[in-house]
Amino acid sequence: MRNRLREMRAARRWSQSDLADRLEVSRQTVNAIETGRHDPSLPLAFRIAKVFETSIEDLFFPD
Amino acid sequence: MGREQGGRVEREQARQAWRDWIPALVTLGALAVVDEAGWFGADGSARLAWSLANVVPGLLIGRAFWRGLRRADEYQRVLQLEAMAIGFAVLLSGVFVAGLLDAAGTGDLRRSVQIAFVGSVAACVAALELRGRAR
Repeated sequence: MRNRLREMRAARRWSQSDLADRLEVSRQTVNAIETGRHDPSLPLAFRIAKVFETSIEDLFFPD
Repeated sequence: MGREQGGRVEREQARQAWRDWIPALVTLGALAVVDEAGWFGADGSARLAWSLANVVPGLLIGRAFWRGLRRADEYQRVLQLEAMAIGFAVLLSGVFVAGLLDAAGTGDLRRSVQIAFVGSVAACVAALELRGRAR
């Protein structure tokens, strides 16, 4: 699964740590999602979408 | 972008992990030294008691793993479970080899089992570090 996390984070000038703090996960997890090493669970995907004020479909899409 | 510092969540997790692991590792190390040096009757009259005392660091390590899993977020939990599987495989192989060596009348079973246990914990921690640092 691909995602636009890095792009959307960069647009807001947030660091991975900033985003991790907002999502209450580790920076390691944000990095793993951005690099495609980890697909987030549905609850985390909803939290990410909420932080970016967008929908899950807008953030994540199949390969 | 340069290497970023860990976030608030990671700093708090690291603090708590140290708090859980230090007593476990200190107890394990101290018991290994007492056993090897044969102090306080560890190689004679109180051998059984000192051998059974190894249950304490075993339980402390189990507690540290458990609390680490409870603190971890979803990705860290996957990494930790994979590392524990590697540690378990090392322990299984180590105890198997220790048993065969003992059956063949070679080596000291207590020492072999202790090496297998310490090795399994080390393998688990190493796997966690290596996987966690992969970028």
